[in-house]
Amino acid sequence: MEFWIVQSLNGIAFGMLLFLLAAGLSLVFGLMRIVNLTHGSFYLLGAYIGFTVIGRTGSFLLAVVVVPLAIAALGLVMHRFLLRRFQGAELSQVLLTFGALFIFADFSLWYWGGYSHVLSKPAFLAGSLTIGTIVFPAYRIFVIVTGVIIALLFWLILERTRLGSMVRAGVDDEEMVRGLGINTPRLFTAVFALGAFLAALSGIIGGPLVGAYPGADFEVLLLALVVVIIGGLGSIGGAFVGSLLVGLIDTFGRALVPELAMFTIFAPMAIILALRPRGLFGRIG
Amino acid sequence: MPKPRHALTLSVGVLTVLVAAVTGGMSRGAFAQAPAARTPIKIGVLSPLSGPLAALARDVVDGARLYVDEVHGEMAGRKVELIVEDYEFKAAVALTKTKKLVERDQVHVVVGVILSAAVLAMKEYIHAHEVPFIVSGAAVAESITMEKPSPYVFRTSFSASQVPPPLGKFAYDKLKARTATVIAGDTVGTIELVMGFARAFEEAGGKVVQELYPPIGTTDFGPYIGKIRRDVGVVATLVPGADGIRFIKQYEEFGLKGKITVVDTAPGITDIAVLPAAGTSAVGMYATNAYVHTIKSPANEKFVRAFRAKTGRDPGGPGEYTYSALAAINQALGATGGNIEAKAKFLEALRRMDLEAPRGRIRFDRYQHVVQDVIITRIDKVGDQIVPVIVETVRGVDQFLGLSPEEYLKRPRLIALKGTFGK
Repeated sequence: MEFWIVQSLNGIAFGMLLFLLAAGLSLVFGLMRIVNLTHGSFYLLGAYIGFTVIGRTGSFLLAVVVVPLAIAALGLVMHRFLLRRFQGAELSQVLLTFGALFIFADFSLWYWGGYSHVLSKPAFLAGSLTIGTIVFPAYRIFVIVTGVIIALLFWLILERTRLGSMVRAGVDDEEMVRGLGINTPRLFTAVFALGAFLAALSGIIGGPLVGAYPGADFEVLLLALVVVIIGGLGSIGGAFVGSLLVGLIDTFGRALVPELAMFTIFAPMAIILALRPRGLFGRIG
Repeated sequence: MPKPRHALTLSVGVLTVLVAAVTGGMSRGAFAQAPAARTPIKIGVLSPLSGPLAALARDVVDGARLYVDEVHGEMAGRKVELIVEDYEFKAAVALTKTKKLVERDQVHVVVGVILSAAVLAMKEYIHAHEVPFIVSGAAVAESITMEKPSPYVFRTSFSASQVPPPLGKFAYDKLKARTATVIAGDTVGTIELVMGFARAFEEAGGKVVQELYPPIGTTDFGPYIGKIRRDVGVVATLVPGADGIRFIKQYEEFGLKGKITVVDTAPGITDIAVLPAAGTSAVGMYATNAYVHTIKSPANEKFVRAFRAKTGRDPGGPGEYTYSALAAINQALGATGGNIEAKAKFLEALRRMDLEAPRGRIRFDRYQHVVQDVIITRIDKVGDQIVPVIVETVRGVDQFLGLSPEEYLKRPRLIALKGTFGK
């Protein structure tokens, strides 16, 4: 019993981390129809800068607040001055974000070196919780709670605000939205910056678990893509369910059939692609 | 505008190509030329300077540079030139970079390499091109210097059949453990290390009840730690580099630290390049090593001082092994009048290496693998530093554990033992 409880919590914690990671990618992907390949870079830059900020100030909270905003600003600049020039040219945009991925990766290698940095947790989350015979790290509980809060916030924004309805409409039919007189380039920029914000946030929240190291940008991008494919484009609910599913399948896969550890995360993706190409909750496909 | 489904398929395709492009690397050819006498001696240094073992990797380069500094850039009257290449902890890239070093730079000797899979990928090429190669990083697979030995491949670091077994006996005799779980990164070298421990532990009388192999690059060890049987006497690990840091921190978070002792079957978590990042989570571990910087000897204290002065940190194993590899090259060059081009004579002299290295006296066996002391340490907090304290030294251990090579080779290979325990 203890095994199942601990592993379920592990799976949920990993799933929530994946959700933070994939939510932004899903929105940008759904709205702009491009895979933002710099999404992984935003994650990695968030983690690295978070590492530096925590190292200098000792404050995890400061990093959580400041760093995602800074990366959102970076995303804003990138979209406003680079991507917007190629509005509608998906292939050019993919190439551009791919080029940016390499530039950010090389910059990080040059500035932070080839080492793996693990961010230090805030002191009050460093310990573990003991309930009966079960010991579980406090930080993972924090990750679960944060994931749920962000998911709720997002759901509220998307379903209850004007911006949210514009985004949803944009995902469904971008041309019609433009025809209604909504400034879609500005909407795109806002969503792109929001995606960058979420990626950086997941970099910091995930930093004490996953760490920041060269190549993390690619790994993270791949994971986020898997979730988006399973959950469906542009759907926050899909990203949430997809993340939980992948987190749980991966955790139990590793614990029960460790020989297939590399396989368990991609198997659900392959099955979904074959049976339901639009994803579980995809609005389009 | 392409249909979204196409956009999706396209993206997956693009990503696949990209991943392949990044992991593949490119190869370049060059024409070999006959080297002129008294030209510099070129030594290729291969190390995974980026990737999960980057922290250990710089020791390889710094060990080599330190030795070259100490001989004022000259061996047997010839200038020495180091050519450093990073292979990103990927076996395929290691082979590409070896070709570059041999064909374009025309190096006389290659040293370094962490990752057994990389050495095994290079071995055939090295043998075919007759390039003397001293494995001086942590590449520990038995087969590197055991079956089908190549006259060109030497090893100054250590082997999985050499360093872990004394710890297996130690865990049974001194730590009084009767059962063990082994956990290793899922790659040939790390698997062989825990198997070396497991065989010795069972021969001492213990029982290995569980084997766990998280892939290299695992970030979340929760599923594995959750699986560890809570009644075992000892957990034997080889989780290298950045993975090791995450493992030992999560081990503590799941409340196992202090309950089940962790022993490192070679310097993984306990490598000095990793230990400061592992911090107090690693205190209380035991480890087995071919070298630790806390060895008390004048030769080692001088080496540690020089290494600290050059780099600002303590030397780890790969630093010492590579420093010794260059000392071995220098010794062989001295015996052959600096004529490295007369390859047969140079190799013969290298085989006769007999050095007072920082770790102690080292020689090669007839399979060109180093014979050395094995040191067992406990990780303690001394002042505000986390240090390996020596608790036992086993003198003059070879890769055949005192058996004749023929006898040893009759036993199953370590890698073949994977999955045979805990059944």
